[in-house]
Amino acid sequence: MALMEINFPEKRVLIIDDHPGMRSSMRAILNGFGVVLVEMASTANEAIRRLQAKPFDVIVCDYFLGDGSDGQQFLEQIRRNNLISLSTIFVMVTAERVYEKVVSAVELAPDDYLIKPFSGEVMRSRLERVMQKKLAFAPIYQLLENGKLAEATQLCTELTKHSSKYTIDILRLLAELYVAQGKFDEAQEIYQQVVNLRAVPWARMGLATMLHFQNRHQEAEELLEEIIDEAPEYMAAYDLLSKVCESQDKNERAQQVLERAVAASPLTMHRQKDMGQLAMRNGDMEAAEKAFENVVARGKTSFFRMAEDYANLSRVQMELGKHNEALNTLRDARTSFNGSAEATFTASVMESLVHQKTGNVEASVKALTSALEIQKTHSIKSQEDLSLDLAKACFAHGKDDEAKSLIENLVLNNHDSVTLIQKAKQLFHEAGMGEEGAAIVDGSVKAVIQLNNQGVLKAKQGDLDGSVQLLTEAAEKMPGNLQIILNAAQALLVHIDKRGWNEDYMKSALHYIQVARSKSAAHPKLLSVNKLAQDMTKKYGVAA
Amino acid sequence: MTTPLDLNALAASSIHEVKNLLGQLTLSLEEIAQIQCPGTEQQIAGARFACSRIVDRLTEMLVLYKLDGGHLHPSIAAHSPADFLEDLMLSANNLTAGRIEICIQLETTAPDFWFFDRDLIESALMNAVHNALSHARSRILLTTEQSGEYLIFRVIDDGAGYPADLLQAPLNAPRVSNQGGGLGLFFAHSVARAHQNKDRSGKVQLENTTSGGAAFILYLP
Repeated sequence: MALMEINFPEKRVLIIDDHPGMRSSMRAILNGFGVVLVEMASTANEAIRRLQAKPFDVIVCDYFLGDGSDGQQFLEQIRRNNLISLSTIFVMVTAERVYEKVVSAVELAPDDYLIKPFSGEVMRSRLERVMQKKLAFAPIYQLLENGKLAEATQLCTELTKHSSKYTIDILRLLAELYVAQGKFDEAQEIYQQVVNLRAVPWARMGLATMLHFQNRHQEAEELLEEIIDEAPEYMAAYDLLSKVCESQDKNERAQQVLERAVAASPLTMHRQKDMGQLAMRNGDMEAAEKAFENVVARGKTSFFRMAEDYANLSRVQMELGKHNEALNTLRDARTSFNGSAEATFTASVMESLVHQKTGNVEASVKALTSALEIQKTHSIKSQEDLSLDLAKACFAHGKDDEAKSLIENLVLNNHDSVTLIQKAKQLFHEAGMGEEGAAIVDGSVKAVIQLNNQGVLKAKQGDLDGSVQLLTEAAEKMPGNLQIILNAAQALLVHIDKRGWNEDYMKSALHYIQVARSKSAAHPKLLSVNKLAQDMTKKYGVAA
Repeated sequence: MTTPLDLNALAASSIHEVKNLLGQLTLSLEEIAQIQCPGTEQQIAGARFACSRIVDRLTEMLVLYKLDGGHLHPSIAAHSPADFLEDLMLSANNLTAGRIEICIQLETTAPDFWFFDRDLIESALMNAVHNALSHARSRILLTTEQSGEYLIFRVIDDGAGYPADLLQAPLNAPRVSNQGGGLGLFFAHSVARAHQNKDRSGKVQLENTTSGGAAFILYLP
C-alpha cells in the first residue's frame, strides 16, 4: 500500500502526564520528528478544558495520571461525552505491561499504546501508522458523523471482503454498528466469526453481550464465568455478569459479583454508582452509602459529576437516620454546581424530605415550594426516584393533587416497571391513601394496557388509520413508555405495509425506535419492530 | 512479631522501580541525541544499547517471575507482521548508529494480520536482535512468512553462527552463562510456548545458515 506522507508540523498534539519531566521529554520526542503544535496538561480535568477550547489531532496520554485516575477512564469519559471526534487519535503511554491486559478487553480501546521506554523513531512510526489507519477509515467515520449507520454498515461489509491488516478492526466496528442498530443476530455472527479465528477477549465479551440482549441469560452467564475465570482482570465482564444475574433475579449474587469488581478497581465511578443502586435495591444500606460516598467524593474533582449522585447519597443517609449528614451532602450539591437549576431542584426535593423527618416543618415546606417553583419554570428532566421523592414531599404537606399527578405521570410512562408500580403504591400507602392510590396506579396501568389493546384491535379490524391515531397520540402523551412508543412504531409500519409508502410515517416510526433503543437496547419488542422497519425499507426499495 | 521478608515481592517491586528509572534515563538520552552534538552518535547509540539491554533483561525477569507463578497470559490481538517487523527494525537501528545494516524481508506468504502478544514477542525478538548485534559482521536480516498453521519470524545475522553446544542445548531451562544469552533464549522459548492456538503452541528454533550466520527462528500458532 502506498503510504501517504504525514505532515507532522500541522498536527495539534495534547500531552497528558502528571509528571513534569515526562511531559517535557515527550514534547522533545515529538519535536524530534517535526511536531511543533504541542500543548500539555497535568490532569484529566485540565486536559478536558483544553479539549473543549479547541480540537486536537492527537492525544498522547499516560496511563497513570497520578491523582488516582487512569488514562483508560479518561478515554472512556471523553469518548462517551463526545469531547473528541472519531478521527482524533488517542495513544496511551504506559510503563507497565498491566495496561496490555486492560486494553485487550475494553469496549473503548485507544488507537494504540506504547510501553515506556521507547525511542522517537518508534513513536513516529506508530503515529504514522495510526494516521494511515484513520485515513483508511475516514469514509466510514464521515458516514457515521452524518448519522448514516446503514451506509456505514454496508461500506464496512464491503471492506471485510478483502483481507487487509485492518480486517479485524473493521469486523469489530461492523459488529458495533450492528449493535447500534439493534441487529443483535448480525452482530453475534460477526463476533463469532472473530472468535473462530481466535478467541480474543473483546469478541467473547461481544458474544456475551449479544446473548444478554437476546435474553439468553443462562448462556451469557456461563460464557462470562468462563471469561472471568481465564482473565480475572476483565472488569467489564463483571459488570455484565452482575446485570445478567439480576435479570435472573439472583440479586445477592449480582451484588457479590459487582463487589469483586469494585474492590479491584475502586476508582471507576460508573461501577460504584451501579453498586450503590444495586445495594439499595437489595436493602443493603451500608454498602449503598459507601458506594455513593465514593461517587460523590470522587466527583468533587471530576468534570463529570452529577446532581443525582448527591441525591442518591442523601437518600441513603436519610434511610440510615443520618439527617445532618444528608443535609451536608445537599449543601455540598448546591455549592458544587454553583446553584444550577438542576442541582437546586434536586437539593430542594431531598431537603424537604429530610426537614420533614426531623420535624422542621417550616423548612420542609419552604424547600418543597422552591422545588415545585423550579420545576415549573425550568424544564428539568427529573430522574424517576427524584420524582417519587417529590411526590412524597407533596403528600407530606397536603399537596395531594400535585403528588397524584406526579405519580400518575410516572406510572403512565413506566406502566410495565414492576419496581416503579410497587414504589408508587407504597408511596400512596405511606400517605394513608393506600386504597385510593392503588386504584389510581392500577387505573393508570389499565388505561395504558387498554390503549395498547385498542390500538392493536383497531389494526386487526382493519382500521389502520384509527390504530395509528390512537397509538401516536398515546406516544406523545407518554414519551417514556417504551411499549407504547414501540406499538406506535409498529402501527405506523403496518400502515406502510398495507396502505403503501408514507415517508412521514417511516420517519416517526424510526424516531420511536431510536428513542426506545437509547433507553433500553434490550427491550424485547425492539427486535421485532426494528425487523419490521427493515423489511419495509426493503419492500419499498428505500434506503433507511 | 515481624512479618518475614517476602524477597520475591521485594525483588519484583525493585525491578519495577529500576525499570521506570531506566525509562527516564532513555528519554534523557533522546533529548541529548536531539542536540546533535557532532561525534557523539556512536557513544549515544552505545548508551542506548546498554539501556535497552538492561530494560529487556528486567522485563524478562518480570515476565519469568509471572510465568513461575502461573500468571503469564499473553494478551492476544491482531497485528500486522509487516508493521511489527518495521518497528523492530527501527528499534534495532537506534542501537547501532549505522554500524550494522538491518533489513526486512517479507515473504509472499506473509499474512496481512496474525494474532499474537505484540509486546512479549517484541521482547523475545529484541533479545535475538541484541545477540545478533553483538555477533553480526555487517548485516542483520529480519524475515516473516506463514508456513502451514504458523507465523514464522527469523532474525538472521552474518556472524560466525551459534556454537555447536548451544544448538544442541535444550531451551526449556535457563542456561547459566556469564556472557548472558542463556536467560534470553529461555525467555523467548517460554514466551513462544505461552502462545497457544487450538492444540498448537509456539516454539523457538536455533540454526546456522548455509553461509554460517546464526538464525533465530520463532514459530507462532
